[in-house]
Amino acid sequence: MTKYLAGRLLAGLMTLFIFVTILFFMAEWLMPKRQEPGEPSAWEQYVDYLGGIVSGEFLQSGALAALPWTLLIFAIAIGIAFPLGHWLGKVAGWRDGGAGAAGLTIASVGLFTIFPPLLVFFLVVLVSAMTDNQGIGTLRALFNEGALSVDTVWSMLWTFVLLGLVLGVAALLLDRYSKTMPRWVWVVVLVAGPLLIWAAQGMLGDVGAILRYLALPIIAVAVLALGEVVLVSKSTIAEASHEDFVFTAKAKGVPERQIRDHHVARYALLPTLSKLMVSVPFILVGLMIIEISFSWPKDGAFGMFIPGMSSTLFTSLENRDTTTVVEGLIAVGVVVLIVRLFLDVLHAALDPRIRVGSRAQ
Amino acid sequence: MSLEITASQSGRGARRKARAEVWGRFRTSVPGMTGLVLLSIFALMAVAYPILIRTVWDPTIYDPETGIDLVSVDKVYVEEVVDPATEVGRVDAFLNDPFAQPGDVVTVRAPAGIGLTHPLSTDAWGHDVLAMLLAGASSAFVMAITAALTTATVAIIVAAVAAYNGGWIDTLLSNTSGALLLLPVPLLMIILGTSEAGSHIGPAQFGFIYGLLAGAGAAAIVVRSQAVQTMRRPFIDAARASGAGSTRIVIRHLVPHLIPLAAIAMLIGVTGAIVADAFVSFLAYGDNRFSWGTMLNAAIRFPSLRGLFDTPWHLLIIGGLAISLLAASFYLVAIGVHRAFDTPKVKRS
Repeated sequence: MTKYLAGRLLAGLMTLFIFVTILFFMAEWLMPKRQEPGEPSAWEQYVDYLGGIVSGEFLQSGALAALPWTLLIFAIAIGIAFPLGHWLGKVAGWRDGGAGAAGLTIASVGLFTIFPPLLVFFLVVLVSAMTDNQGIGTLRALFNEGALSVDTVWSMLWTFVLLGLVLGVAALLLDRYSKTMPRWVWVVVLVAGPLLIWAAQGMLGDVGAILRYLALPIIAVAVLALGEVVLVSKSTIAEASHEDFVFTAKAKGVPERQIRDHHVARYALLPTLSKLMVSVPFILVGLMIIEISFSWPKDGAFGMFIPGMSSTLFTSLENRDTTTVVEGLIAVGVVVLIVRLFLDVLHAALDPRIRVGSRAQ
Repeated sequence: MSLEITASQSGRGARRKARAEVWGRFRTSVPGMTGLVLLSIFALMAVAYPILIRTVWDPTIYDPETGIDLVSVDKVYVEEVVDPATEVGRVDAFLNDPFAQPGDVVTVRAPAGIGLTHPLSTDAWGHDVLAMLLAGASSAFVMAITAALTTATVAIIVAAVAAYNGGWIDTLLSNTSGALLLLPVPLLMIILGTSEAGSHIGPAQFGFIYGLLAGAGAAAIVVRSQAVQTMRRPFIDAARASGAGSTRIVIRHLVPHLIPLAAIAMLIGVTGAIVADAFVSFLAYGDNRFSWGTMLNAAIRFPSLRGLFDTPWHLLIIGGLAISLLAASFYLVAIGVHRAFDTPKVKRS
């Protein structure tokens, strides 16, 4: 497994290098800086630019300061959308066909392709109507009072990463002794764990404020992602339900529900994950469009400023700051790459062929 | 995902039969048919506007940007005055008296009601909403079709070249595709559209650039794996043994097997192009042409003057739904195409 993961990491770095190169020359071509005598040539600038990325100077750039906000929204939204979407796709894909399944497909396409500003508008109007027109105002006050700090967001992200790592290692260790961790342990640790840790650090109030402020964008992104997850997992489940092992299980007399949940759904989890890898950049774009929609127009009725990647990107775009735009795009690429690597690790952990195959070597 | 062309390639009758089978399978897909119906409606809308504006509709009333029909007026109590120097258009639209002070009661233009002359009424400026809806369809449609065709063409070319040649060409091309996959193309198009260069990019160019990037990226990866599989199949060797040149093998034997998958990739990719294009015009950037995004822009800027619940709902929902449904119809057709070319597995029940 180590060998497999090392290979994936190397391939990822290679892709990143090509990506960074394409971005540099694309920016030169689209937004050329005026070439003044005595300035370094494009080639020297390129070498400089690569050096900046390798030496870690890039990590200090302003483009990254807003990254945790976007990551937090993305992580929580996916955390909601994935289990729910996988379950819906499982139910609809199993009995391939029927009016209900077709209806769910059409509804999921509708969720995935809804124009984000329209979705944002519906959410804002809904909240305003429910809270007697006060909801958005309270949220705005929350932001203006400075109750939301990026440090809290960072530590929230780290809590999730650490707990996930602990759980992953525990699951792998149990697996060595041919035992599986019950699913409720995951849920309990990932929900109760963070709450305990934050309570111990005394930052529960800050976390609550952040979650309340980000609730609307999180819901919007979750709606978008839910449609895609349902579509992908429905089609993989439908494909998997014609496999030979399903026939065998039926012949053995395994109850239908158990075949669906324990045989097909598990089998279809991997292709679902690898197909979703392609959608990750598109969900990220949806997230950034949603971020802007909330804070547009600046004097507007929504007036909710979401301090994410998109605000940095668009501010620097308005200021014609090509460097920061390119850095922001690199940051988006790195996020996509990290999500991909994470899915690779998950793939390796879930797929016995990769696990056992490398252990045998 | 494996999609096969089932019937043999030879014989006109066999080909017609294969086509009938594909259509027969497409027809059984409810999402696919829904998408096709929606897409036909949008195509009709795109054609209808130029015809109507030349024959029935008077451009001074029905042009989505300059046409004005002031049917009714309203008295409004002024709460706040926007600086007339920077907001001339808006002040003119809402308050006919540019020197109104807070506390005055002034006359404003109010939207016309729903009727025969304005089936979807007008907006606060007096523009006909149905005319706006139809006028937006043609540019969105031109953009979407260009994006779709470019995506499919580029994906097929990249995939066929990579799979036919193999070796370092394949490595280079598939690594480039992998790198382009890191870059969300809709985001790049939004950045391009809102940048200075964006004001020179028309709908067709927008679709073309999108298609180039999306076709060489995500779509090429999917189509390439199919192309590699196809190259391994015996009929390629048979063609080579019977003396077919490389061009003939690629065009006659390889490419037909890539078309279904490329079609699906392009139909799904187009949804991103539609959202990106609409978002650029929603933010009032781009080449200033009239589009559905412009309708949303007007609708959402309106409440910034008069409060959230005064939003022209019809303008916002009609424009927003048009964008969403156009994107959805391409995606739904993609689901139908997938069903149509998916070789049916033996069903056991």
